[in-house]
Amino acid sequence: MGDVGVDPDQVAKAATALEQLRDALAANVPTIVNTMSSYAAGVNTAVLKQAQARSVGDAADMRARSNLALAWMSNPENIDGTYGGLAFVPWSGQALDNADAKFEAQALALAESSSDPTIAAQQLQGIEQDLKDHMSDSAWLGAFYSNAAPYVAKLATTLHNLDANGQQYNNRFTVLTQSDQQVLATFAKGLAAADKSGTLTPEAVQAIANAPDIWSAAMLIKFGPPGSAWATSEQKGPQNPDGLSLLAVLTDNVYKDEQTGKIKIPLGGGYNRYTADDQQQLQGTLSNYDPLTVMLKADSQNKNAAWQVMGDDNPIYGNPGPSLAKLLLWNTKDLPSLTARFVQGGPNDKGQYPGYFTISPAEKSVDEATGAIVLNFMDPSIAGAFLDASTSAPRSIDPNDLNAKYAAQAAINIIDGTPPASGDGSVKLDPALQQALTDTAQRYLVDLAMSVNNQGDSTVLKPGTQLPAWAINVNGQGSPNSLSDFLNQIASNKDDLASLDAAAKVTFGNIYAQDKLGVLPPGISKTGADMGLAGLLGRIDTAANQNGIDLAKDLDEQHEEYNKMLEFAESTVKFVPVVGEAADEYLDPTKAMLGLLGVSTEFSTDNASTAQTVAAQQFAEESTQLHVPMVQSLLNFNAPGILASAQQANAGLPPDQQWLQNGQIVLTKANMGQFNGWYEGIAGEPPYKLEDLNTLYGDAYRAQGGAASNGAQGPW
Amino acid sequence: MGWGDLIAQAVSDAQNDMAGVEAAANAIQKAISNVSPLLTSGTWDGPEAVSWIGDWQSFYKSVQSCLGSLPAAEAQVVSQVRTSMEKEAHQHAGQPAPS
Repeated sequence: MGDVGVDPDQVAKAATALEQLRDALAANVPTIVNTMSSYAAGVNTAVLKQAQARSVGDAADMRARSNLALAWMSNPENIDGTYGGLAFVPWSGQALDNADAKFEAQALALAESSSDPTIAAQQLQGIEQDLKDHMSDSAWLGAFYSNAAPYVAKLATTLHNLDANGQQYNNRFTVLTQSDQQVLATFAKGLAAADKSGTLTPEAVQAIANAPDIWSAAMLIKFGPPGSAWATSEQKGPQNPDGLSLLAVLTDNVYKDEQTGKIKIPLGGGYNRYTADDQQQLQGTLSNYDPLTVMLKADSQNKNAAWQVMGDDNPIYGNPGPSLAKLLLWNTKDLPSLTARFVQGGPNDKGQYPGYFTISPAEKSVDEATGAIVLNFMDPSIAGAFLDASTSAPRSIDPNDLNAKYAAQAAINIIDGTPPASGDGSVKLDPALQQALTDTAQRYLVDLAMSVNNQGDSTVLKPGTQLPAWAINVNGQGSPNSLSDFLNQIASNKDDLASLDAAAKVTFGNIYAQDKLGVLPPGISKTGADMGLAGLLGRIDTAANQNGIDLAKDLDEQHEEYNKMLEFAESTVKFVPVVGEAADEYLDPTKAMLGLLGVSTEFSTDNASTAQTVAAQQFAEESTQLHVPMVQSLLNFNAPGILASAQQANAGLPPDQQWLQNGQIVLTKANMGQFNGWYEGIAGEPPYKLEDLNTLYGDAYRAQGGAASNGAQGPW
Repeated sequence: MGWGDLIAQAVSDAQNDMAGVEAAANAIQKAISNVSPLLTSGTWDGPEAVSWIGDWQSFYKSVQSCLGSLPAAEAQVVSQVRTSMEKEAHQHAGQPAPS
């Protein structure tokens, strides 16, 4: 389609008239439709609703033609092409969208460079309206942001400069006005929609994610939709060779720039020293505009971004994972949970008319010849959610599954970055952070088990190296070593300790039984996972002892603690057995392997019923002593002879002493003695020779420091 | 309040609602009439524009038809309300009106 000749004045009038019609329909159609409907008047008003919907596009298109016609007429290049006072513009479709989007991008650039705040505000309002009118038009959005991205990236700073005059005393806490926030929300919503639909060019992504004013770019995320509304990956390009998401690259750059002191939060500007009375509000304001906090929150909602930030170690992105994990896990030489200091002004400025606060990283000394210094403590719930999300990618046997690889690397960064909770350099973490550690441990339980004797550095292992899936091998030996510090931190919280111990025992039981019955999936049979898990249980016991917790005592002698452990295990029903989101995505025989890695293949994720809760509690109860899950696993795998023996032992017992119900071991205080009596009778019998754990697994357990019992029947 | 008052109140409410509908319809009619004179051959040329005008005018003809049918429907609504209330009053003759 060629361009159409239009009369600029007449088209401008038509655009205005169509906008008025759009507004009239929006204001009046609901009145007509609702009122006539309430009286059941039998009037078909469908066409009115169609008109209301259509009018938005009609008005937007006509305004676009009008804008383009005016621009055409004012372009000196067209002076010779003018014919009869007509301008020539695209009429409809992609050509009109592209031309209009480009025009609005140029208008945004002009508005941002305007020295008159009133004119700039009017121009921004016009662009914002056009953006709203095209919010569901991904092609238009893609064209707009591909042209406007550099200006959109610095919009927050522009708005601050236009509206939040720091010279005025009343604005000393104003970063962005309510109106500014609304404008940003509209531009961010459109950007997210374009990003999610894949219509952003790689250049546009880079213009946002690598913006010179990274604080301003991050404010689009703050006032935009949740992290889940943004893309999970982008097109690959020279600056983004791994195709990381906009959120991830922006986070990488925010973190990098925070660490190098390049980020400034615009605030204040008058010679108004912040007084002691101002400090609380000042700290709240600055923390609220901390771009790293903003990004981590969005990343945890997006999940993929969290995997990529914590797991992609490509140097081009700065490989923030290892140091970011330490920062968020309070493993620095600075105050716990302190992630930065906001420093008023630059060096030697003494806080006079600076109009900004520089973000100075933790562990870095601050020039005392500055103005106010405000400490930034990151909310542990945000840091915890981010870290937790970063290891949440489904485990995979696909060597090309980068998500699984990123999550594995994230797990290593977290485990290596965890400080011990007791001893030198120790710090006890906030529960929200400990939750992230416990979830990570349970996602990589077998891996941790197989790391107990690793004297080397922590590494990610490709599928088939040690386990059939992407796996981790954690530094497990030496003083200090990552595994011990990690377990020590988890064990400092009895809830987390109990959950991890129970999960390890259940997993051990599964592997033991499958090994004994020769049904262990290929790729795991020669790896010594069972010995590793026995060793891991020993390490958990050691970590518990370091925190003053006696597992045996807690389980055997303190009934309240025992009940608490059941409660903990029940609360983590998704892990014991783990109900992973990934489970349904995998088919047999992969399921069998995933089950060994702690991903349930038995329960769906969306129908947690009362029966399952009860079963989980029973399961947890069974799991508290190692020999119980071992026997249960043999029953689950139909080990010849075991079920018959168990059924025979239960036959004739009074109901309250029967411990076998529908193939499940259900232990109570009343039937515990009967169960133990049966177990002792079969423990030494071939072919399973359960008492082997006394020597084989018990040795592995004790070799890792386990001392809660002798490793035989009992609570280890 | 007796049945007579109740009927009068219901009819008055319906009349007010219909007046609101009428005002809304008039506002839309006026906005449409402001657009129409601008959609002429003097504003632009070319088959695409002409086609778009034809489509717009055809569509808004149906909108105006709908709006034009409203007065009769409004009158019918008021009439139905009156009839319905009177029927109810007849059925409950001799009984006090609901408060």
